[in-house]
Amino acid sequence: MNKESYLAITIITAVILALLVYAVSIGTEPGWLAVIGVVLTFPIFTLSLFLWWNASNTDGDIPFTGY
Amino acid sequence: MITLILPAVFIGLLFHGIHRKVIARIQGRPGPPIWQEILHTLKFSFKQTWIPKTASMPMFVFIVAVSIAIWTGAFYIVFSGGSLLLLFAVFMLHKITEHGLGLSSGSPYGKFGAIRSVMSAASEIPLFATIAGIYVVTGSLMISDITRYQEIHGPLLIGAFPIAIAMYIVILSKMHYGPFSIIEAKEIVSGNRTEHFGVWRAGLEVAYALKTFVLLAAFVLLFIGALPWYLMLLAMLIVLISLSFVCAFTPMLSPFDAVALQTVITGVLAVYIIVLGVIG
Amino acid sequence: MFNLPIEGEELFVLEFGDIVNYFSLYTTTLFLFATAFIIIAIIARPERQTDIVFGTDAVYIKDVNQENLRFQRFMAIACGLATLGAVSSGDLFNFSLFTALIGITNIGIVAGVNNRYVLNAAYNYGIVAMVATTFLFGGAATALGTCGTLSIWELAGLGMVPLAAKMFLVLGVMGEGMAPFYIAKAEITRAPGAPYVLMIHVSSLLIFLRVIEIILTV
Repeated sequence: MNKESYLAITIITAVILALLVYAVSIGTEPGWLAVIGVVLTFPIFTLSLFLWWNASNTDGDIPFTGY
Repeated sequence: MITLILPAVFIGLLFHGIHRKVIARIQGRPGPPIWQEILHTLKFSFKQTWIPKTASMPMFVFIVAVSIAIWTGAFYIVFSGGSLLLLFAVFMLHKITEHGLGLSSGSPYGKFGAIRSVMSAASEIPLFATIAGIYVVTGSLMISDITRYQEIHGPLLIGAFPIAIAMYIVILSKMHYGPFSIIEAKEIVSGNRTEHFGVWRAGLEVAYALKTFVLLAAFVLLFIGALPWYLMLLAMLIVLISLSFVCAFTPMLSPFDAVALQTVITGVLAVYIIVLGVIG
Repeated sequence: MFNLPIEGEELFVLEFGDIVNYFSLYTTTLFLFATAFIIIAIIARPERQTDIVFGTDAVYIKDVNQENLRFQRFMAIACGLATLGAVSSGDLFNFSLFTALIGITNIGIVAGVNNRYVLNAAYNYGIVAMVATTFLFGGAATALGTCGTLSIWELAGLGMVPLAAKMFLVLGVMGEGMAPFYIAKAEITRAPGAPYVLMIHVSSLLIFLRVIEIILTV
């Protein structure tokens, strides 16, 4: 994926997170539903944010097997 | 309280920095500045990133996301006074992510780390002793009930000292540079995290910062009781520094010894709990 | 059932006579976790294990061949489904049955691997798992004999199930997956093919988490 799609995912998840935080603060019922939302969105937000601002992505090499 | 996740990540990273600093001072080194781990995480997040050719593609990424997700959940469980059993489940699921991290990359060192992680599943057993003990003493597994019990009967740290020791050992086995951290021993490079660098490592640092924060907060809540936030942070810091002392003074055990020691501790605790349950 | 201060809120209940299958916040978490790993096992390519040729600089990569891959994937999915059954059933006998099924599928996942050490470990584990089945069903049978029902829903909070039956259940689950018989399993996970091999670990830890909930409840 390119940088723009990572940025889009970051913004979308940030908006969802903000809405969920608001939902928790006004105390929607049932309480755990918003929390499950946060648990599912927060990792995607973190990783897509990092993938957006990192230097670049390239094709992988074989793993490190020693010097 | 869900808005506190971001501060918790930064405080957790700061705790990691303090942990390194204390170990360094004990060993007579200057050590890195305490905000080093925050910079570290940012540095990793800016770096070029790839997925190894031999990796199991979706799983390699998915396992990092799962790590963050489970500790976000655990953070909520602890601070909403949820079920201790659910927190215990998160500890176990963490074991699965550790294993998955090592297996997903195809790296031989990752594999070593993953297999050591399976072997050291015994490190989770003292936690079961903690839960059973707390259930016998307080009659509930809800963290809110346990803090209420302590308001009436005084801290469990005094009332049920051996159980606190068990929980302390569980936290110790999850600390960096500790005697039980055989999965990230330097003879196997970085163990199960060898191939997770760049963005993936930054994600893992976020998860592990939350983990440290949640573990310390859970210890304080379960054995000292509910405190105002500044005293809570202070108590967590004191627990952390005591852990750093243990980590600085003990060598890393061999995998066999680590498992044997943890099993012995669990055995002793099982006897204590059975005695407590029968007599008390 | 849900007035016990153990596992949090009730989410969903499905009644079959006196056997009530229930989802609490706790079992739902386990259920979702297992589901996520089944999906990963379905969509992921297996990892290809890199190794160093001993005494040289050369590196070789172990590929999982197509036929073996299909079998491993099938077994991993079967194992995941058995785990889903074990974490959601409201009946001690069904729980034992699903746990025994997990033991069998765990061996199945690595059965096709062409490695002497892995197969040896799988064989040893198979013997332990078979012995453990006796304890597992013994525990369920003892509970039925003393209480007249197998339903966790009915037995919840009564404290009628004898300690021996609970210990049998825990011993059975330990044999099927957890420490101290775990060292053979550590050898098993040396087999290449990550998402499938990981399912061995996922299933055994999840049934351990479930059995703790059961023995605290009944």
